[in-house]
Amino acid sequence: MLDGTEKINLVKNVAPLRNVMLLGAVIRQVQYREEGMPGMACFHGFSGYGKSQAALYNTQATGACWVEVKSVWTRKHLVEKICLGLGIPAGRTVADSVENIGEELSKSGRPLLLDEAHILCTDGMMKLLHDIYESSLGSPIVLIGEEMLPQSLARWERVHNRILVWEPAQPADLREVGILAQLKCPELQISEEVLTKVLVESQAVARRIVTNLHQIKDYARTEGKTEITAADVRHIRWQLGKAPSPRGGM
Amino acid sequence: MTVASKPIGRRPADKARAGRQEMWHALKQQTGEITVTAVAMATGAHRSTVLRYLTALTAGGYLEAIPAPAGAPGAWRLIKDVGHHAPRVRSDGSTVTQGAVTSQLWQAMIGLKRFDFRELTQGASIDIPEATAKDYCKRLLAAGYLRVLVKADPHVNRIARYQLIRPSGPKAPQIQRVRQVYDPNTGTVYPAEGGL
Repeated sequence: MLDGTEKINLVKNVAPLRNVMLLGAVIRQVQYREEGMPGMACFHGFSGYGKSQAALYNTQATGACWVEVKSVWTRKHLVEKICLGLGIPAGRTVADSVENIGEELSKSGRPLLLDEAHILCTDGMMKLLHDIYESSLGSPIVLIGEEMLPQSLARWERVHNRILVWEPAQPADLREVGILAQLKCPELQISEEVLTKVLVESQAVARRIVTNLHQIKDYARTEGKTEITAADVRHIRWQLGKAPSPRGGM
Repeated sequence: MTVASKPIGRRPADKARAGRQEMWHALKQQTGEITVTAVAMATGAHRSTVLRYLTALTAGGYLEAIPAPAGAPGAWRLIKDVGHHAPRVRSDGSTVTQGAVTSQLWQAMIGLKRFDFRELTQGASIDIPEATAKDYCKRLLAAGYLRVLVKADPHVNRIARYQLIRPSGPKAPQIQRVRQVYDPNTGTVYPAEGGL
């Protein structure tokens, strides 16, 4: 699974986070699959785990077409946005567009990444997805969505059994907190205890880790510090990701 | 009195004539063999432009030259169809990398929606100098593509955050030398205001 590590490290700006590499491995797996194997994949995980960030890097690295689905989209909207993402003219009808998309995907070999794919879990959209997959002669399609996506997909057997890889996104670990700290606040020296505190307070959710690192940065800025140690922990306003409890007497 | 002469060199992007994309479409539509004449007729491009692109595509392995008897015009056959987008190849058949940086920055803007220039380089798969990312943001801001969410403040070491307000399509807007931004998605030209 850590195949791409050395390649990613070459690019000094990109954080070698596990989710970035996992999604990269998923795309490679469906792209270079054995003949006769299904060509869809599912990358699922809780909100804020960095799935979309992983999708961004992998879109750039593989030349994929990335489309973020919106809940209000009709079938026509979806095919038009995919056409736009691929840079091809959309057809007059949904059927025409599906043909265009299929032709372009199969000829160019670009993977299609559909972000927020749990929104697609309706009858109409699943049929459309199946049509796109079939008319593209089995081009790689990766569905990226929230944690319950595999369970939701189970209702549509035709799509469900065309999925080759199910890959859950991973929560962050201490190494990744260190990397994110290097990336987001390179001017600060943050001690190991503080990083552990960040990981715990953020419940290992990447988005919250970044928020809390930002809080540290704010604190360091107001206090004029460049080194953050365990002594500073109690002065920092941690974002716990909890809704505040109601105040008394209201 | 000076005589209006033909401009020297490549035309600016917003005034470009038929290029790779048009030639690629024309040669894909040929039913029989591909010839320079047929492609030049269909696109209006100069014969030498067409010949140069066909040779480059042959070197890149997209076309195959059909051996012709001496004196007969050269003909080609399409052997690798990569879809709608014309392959950007150099004369030796290698892929053109010009524009890769802005393309990645633009893709990152579309993906992140709210960003600062550092985050753009962090979402890219190639190494992008921060100065380049910063400059691209500055120029797109001047052309009205971005909105400032948080102003930069050098006193507290803070950089500006932007929001993309004109996601016009997958192709990155091009910064032209003549203080304007050309959007290849729509073909529009925006003046870069604000004394850049």
